[in-house]
Amino acid sequence: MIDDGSLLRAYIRASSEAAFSQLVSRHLDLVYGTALKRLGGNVHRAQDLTQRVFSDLARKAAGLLHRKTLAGWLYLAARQAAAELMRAEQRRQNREYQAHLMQEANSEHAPDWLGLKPLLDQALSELKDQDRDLLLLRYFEVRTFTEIADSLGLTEDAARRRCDRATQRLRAALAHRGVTSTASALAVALSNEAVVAAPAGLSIAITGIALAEAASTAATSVGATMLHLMSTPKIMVGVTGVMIAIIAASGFHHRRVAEESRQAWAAANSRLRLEREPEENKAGHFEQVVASAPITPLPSLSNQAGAPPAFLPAPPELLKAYRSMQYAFWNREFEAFIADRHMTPEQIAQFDAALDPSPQIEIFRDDHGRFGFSLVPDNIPHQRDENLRALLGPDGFDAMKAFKKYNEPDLLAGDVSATALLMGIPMASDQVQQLAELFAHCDRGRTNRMAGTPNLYAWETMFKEARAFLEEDQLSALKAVSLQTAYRMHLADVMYPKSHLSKETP
Amino acid sequence: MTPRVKAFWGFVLLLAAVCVLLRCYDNRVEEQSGLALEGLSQAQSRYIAHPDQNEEPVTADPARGPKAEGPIAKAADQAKAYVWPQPSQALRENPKLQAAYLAAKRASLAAAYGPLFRRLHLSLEQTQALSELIIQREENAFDTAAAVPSVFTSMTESTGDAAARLVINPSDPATYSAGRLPLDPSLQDDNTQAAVALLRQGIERFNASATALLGEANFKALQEFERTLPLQPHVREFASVLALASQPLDLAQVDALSEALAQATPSYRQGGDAIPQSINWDEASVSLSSVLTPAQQTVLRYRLAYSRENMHFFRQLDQLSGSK
Repeated sequence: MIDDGSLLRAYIRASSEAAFSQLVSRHLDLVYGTALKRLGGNVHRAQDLTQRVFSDLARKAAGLLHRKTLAGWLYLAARQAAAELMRAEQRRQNREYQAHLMQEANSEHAPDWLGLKPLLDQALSELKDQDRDLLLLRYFEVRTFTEIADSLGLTEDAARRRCDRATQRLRAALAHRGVTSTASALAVALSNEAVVAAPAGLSIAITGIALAEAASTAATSVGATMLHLMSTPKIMVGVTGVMIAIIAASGFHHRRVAEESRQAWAAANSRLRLEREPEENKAGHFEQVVASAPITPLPSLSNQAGAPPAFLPAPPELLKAYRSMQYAFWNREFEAFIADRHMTPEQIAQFDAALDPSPQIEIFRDDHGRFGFSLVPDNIPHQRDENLRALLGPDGFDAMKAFKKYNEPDLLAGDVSATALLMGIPMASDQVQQLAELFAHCDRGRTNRMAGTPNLYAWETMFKEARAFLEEDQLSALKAVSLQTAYRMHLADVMYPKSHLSKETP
Repeated sequence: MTPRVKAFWGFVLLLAAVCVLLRCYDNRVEEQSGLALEGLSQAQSRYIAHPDQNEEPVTADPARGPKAEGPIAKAADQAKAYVWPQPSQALRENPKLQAAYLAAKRASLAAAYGPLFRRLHLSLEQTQALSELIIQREENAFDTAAAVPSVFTSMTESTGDAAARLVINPSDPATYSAGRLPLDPSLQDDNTQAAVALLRQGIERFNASATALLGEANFKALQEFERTLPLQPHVREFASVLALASQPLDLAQVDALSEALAQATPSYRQGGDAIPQSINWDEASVSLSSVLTPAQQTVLRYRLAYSRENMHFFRQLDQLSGSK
């Protein structure tokens, strides 16, 4: 005979309705009988409860695979379900039977087995699983010792001996409750009273309903499998190991990210913190160094990162020319400021020196064989500000800062003026002045000339207000400049998508 | 499932959530660090310029950086491996940017060719027709070049002599050129040759149409004028500064200034296009003294001085390259 565990596996793995039906048929009388007993002989409620127990079996099948027989589990399930339904009545009945036992405690008559059925159930439930299974198979399901031996994997003699011992233990349990009987009498009582035949057709009905319920919750069996797996110690230990590994890896990654970020900043900043070598050392070895200068592709020409340029010290003549150019550059940038303050040539030289005390460059050879140059930054903005403040005084220093701030709107107004001039519709000086003021007014404070990116202006306001002092033809010059600005803004956005430029265009 | 098992799985879920949050935080740190580094790199680039490349920056010297290994070296390499965006590449690959470029170019045409229109005393209809022909030629050159990356790169990033023939200036759509073939002769692949053929056809169509519109003499004047167009940024700059200083140029001075700058450019004198980088500012300063008023010369003195110093510096740099 196929054991219960095999039938259950067939049901789970192959969704075998026949296997489940066989299980129901095999244990129906046990469950129904138990329910009928527990429910005081109420047939309808017993049928409902039987159906519920087998539905539970279908749902929890995955967790019962390790059992060779399901009799014990079904018995307890039926008992527990009945207990839930009859809890209140059960308490009352228990009290009544306790009182009855007190009265009959010393009686030498044979026990009234019909009246003691609840007590017998209680004693059965307190037996060990193996003993209870044996008694349920032997007396409740009326199996032969041969069948019991097959179900439990024993010899027939072993089954018989174990069944006798289980009966003795049940007798002892009853005696403990004041019910005295011989083992033979107890066996007869069990045989006569425990077995209750289920109504005809109940097996088919229960099988159908239970399987329908199980099928309607298809995920239930999967969930049950998952729950079973999740409750498996090996799985839990494995998961714990994986979690420890993940946490360790996360912690390592976190530290690595922080360290990389810090080091990347250090590497990037190091370029700005370079200590310059003494100039005489550079100049002294220049000729020899130039002769062996490696050729390095320029990113701007090769359009790739390529090899980094190899920098060389600049020769003294070139450095001198660079410094002259750089000071001329500062003079050009601040020419209006210099003119406003009526600086003498000596003061201009001091101003230049304060702006850029010691300009330095390095040279490199590109992949065309030509030399380019790179500025070596001083990284002394604070020192520059101190020098300028000392030279210009606090008011002069603030005036210089303010001059830079408003230079860009002026240049844009000048650009519009130049465009209008080339178009043949020159602007008068007061128009240029008004336009510069309008640009400054419509500048949204994003001026940054050093970045070389166009500023943001409220262009609609600009055109609206410019109509008050510009002719219609001159407005076309403003439009041309606005479109050039729009293009430059767009270009900057495309090239530097993370920049702080607004998306607004003229 | 027992309460202990439930508690175990609850704890597992909690740890998983903590790990996910930690990962999100790391990603954010990496992103923000990358952005900050990019910003720092851009800031550095302003100090490391190669003026021959229209102020396009080059990379810093990584050899001066700290020597490091492992994650440190990797982070430093990431900081150094920043690939600078190229204006020409952005312009070639972005249709919206192209539209903005061409719109700005079209709006700037009246200013760029304004001196010529006045000089030739063209009617309004002739001016409009010639403007349309010029726009068509520019857009044809732009579209053709944009289809062949090597041609586009050659037209936008050429240096030295080729700079005089730039048709497309990604940094300044207001800068006009003569619309002649600007190609690097080393480009010989099929696509380049096809692009050259198309460009040549467009230029020939323009020449024929412009000649029919203007007549032979005026067409030659147009060609002469276009040889000076690369110098126009200097004219615009001087006009702008002088206007702000309330010493504006008049129309005659604009023409004279253009001519003076052109005559100070060797390539123009030799019959080619004027090359802005080759202006001899010592000569130009002398010529301008007869074009500008003393007040205007005073306003421009620092600009002219810078241009001269700039020329001297780069001549020395070029001599260095020649003596290598």
